[in-house]
Amino acid sequence: MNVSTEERGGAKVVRLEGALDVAAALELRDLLATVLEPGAKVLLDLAAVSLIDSSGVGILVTAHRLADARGAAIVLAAPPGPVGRVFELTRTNRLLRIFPTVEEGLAALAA
Amino acid sequence: MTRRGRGGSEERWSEILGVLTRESEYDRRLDMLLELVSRASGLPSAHVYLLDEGGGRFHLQRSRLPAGVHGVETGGAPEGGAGSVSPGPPLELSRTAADESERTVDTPAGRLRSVPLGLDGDLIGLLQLGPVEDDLPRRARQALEPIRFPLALALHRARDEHALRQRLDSALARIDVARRLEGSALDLDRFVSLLLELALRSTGTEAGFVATVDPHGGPLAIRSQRGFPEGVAEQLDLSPEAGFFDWAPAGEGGALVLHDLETAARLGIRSLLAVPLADGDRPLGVFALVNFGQARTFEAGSLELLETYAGQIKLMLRNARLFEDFTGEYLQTIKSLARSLDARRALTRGHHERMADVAEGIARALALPEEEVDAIRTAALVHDVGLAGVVEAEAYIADVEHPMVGASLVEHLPLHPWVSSAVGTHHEWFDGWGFPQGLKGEEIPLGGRVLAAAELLVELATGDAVHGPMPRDRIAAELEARSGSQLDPRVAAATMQALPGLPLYTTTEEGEG
Repeated sequence: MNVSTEERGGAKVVRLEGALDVAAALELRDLLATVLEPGAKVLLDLAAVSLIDSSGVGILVTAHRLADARGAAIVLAAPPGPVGRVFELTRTNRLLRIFPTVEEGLAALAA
Repeated sequence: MTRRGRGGSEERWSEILGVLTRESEYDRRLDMLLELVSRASGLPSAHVYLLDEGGGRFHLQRSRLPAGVHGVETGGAPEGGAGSVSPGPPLELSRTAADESERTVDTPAGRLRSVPLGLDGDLIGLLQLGPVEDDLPRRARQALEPIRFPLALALHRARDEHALRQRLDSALARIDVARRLEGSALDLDRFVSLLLELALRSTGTEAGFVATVDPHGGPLAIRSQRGFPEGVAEQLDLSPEAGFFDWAPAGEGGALVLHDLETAARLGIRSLLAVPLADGDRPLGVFALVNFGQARTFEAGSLELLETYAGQIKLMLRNARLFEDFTGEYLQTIKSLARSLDARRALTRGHHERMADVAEGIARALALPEEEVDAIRTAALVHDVGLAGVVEAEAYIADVEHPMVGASLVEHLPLHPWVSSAVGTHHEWFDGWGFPQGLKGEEIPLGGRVLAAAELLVELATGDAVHGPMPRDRIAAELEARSGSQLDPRVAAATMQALPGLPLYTTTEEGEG
């Protein structure tokens, strides 16, 4: 999985590309632990995620809990159709903050 | 023409033992042997008794009566034609020292000569022949002497084979019982396994499993799995303590994710997609697809299929759970109905509960496995429910038929099959004189034989409108007297052993009578 990070509108935008499987989830866990510092605003851009499984969804749920615990904020944006279906099938769509586009996600973080 | 002397004797040997090879059915074998004895001795009545296992009583096995005479006690009336009805020989005899020797006895079937049958110096039974005046006629004695030993041998072998056949039938019945017990669970597992295989094929996934939640509070555990490398599925500990999955409570949406990434990586799992299966707020299980090699895309089409299969598996699990819930509630209703019957009269108050305690005590004395003890207890709690709803005018019919009616009320439930069989046979007698089917010996399921003993004890200990509660020492005497006739001797012996500790009386009844 490729990961790139940029600052946009006061938020860190983390762009994920490729499969978010067990190996990628282990890498992402360390990255998110670093970027989710107290007060941070983080957007995960999922537009280029080709696959997500229960380990990938698990790390996203963990990131939301970590953000709540640290007083940070995290949103997910632009999940492709199959990725969105996985959130529904695992019933995590109600635990995660998901927006259809990066812009909508950034707007929510800025509010 | 029968040859005489040594040659004639050999011919008789051959004829007697030949019965065992020509005929396999026990009663028919004995009929043929008695016919042979009768023909050789010239005496028309012949009855054969064999000693029971305890060696204390002789039980009538078969009778041969003179042509035209029907024995009313043995029930062995010949087919067709009118004949006089006379009392048959007694069904059983207590063993006495006099039985060791040949003697003349007066019986309800007339004056007979009682001839001991022995093997290796041990008495195994009696052959009673008649009618006689004081001794056997000369011709009968000459014919009988050489065939006593082969006759004893043939009877002994016939009984042993009969016992073996009964044991085989019992073993086959147990296998059938096990199949029935596993039937519903097997159907569910087969269906789940089939859906799992279809899901793997249609989504191009390497492996998968269905895990279910134990409705009685046990942990999530794999019920069916396919495609895993050897030993890997066994290492997947899905209990909440192990933390492999993180399954949020229903209040939080019931979301399911893979939490223990290290274990997944250690097991070589590349990707795993697990779908929670729930019925409203009740978690039912997990349906998971697993890839070990190249991570494959769970593309839109595969996810739709996955959702469809998950829906079907959920439906199966939910139906199984609903049927289990229904069974529990239905059984409670049947038990309440049985209790309400008891409450109609002072003498039967608490009858079913007391029966359950006593039957359980007897079942434990027989060292039965726990699931069979439970089945007997459940059967005792509902055994007379077939009497419910009976109107006075039909009381006699209901009394005869209530075991079968009761059995029919529980036989289609996924309970241990001993429950319905015990309810249906709790009024059968070991000697075949019970009702409603007139089953005999081990034709009666063991559960029914235990309930029969428990019911006798509870009725004697309760008393009736005329007699007060019978004390334990007299109940012990009744047990002994009815062993082998009303009661299975093995069950009666176990009951005797358990008797001092059985809860037969309320605190006010004990010691009365």
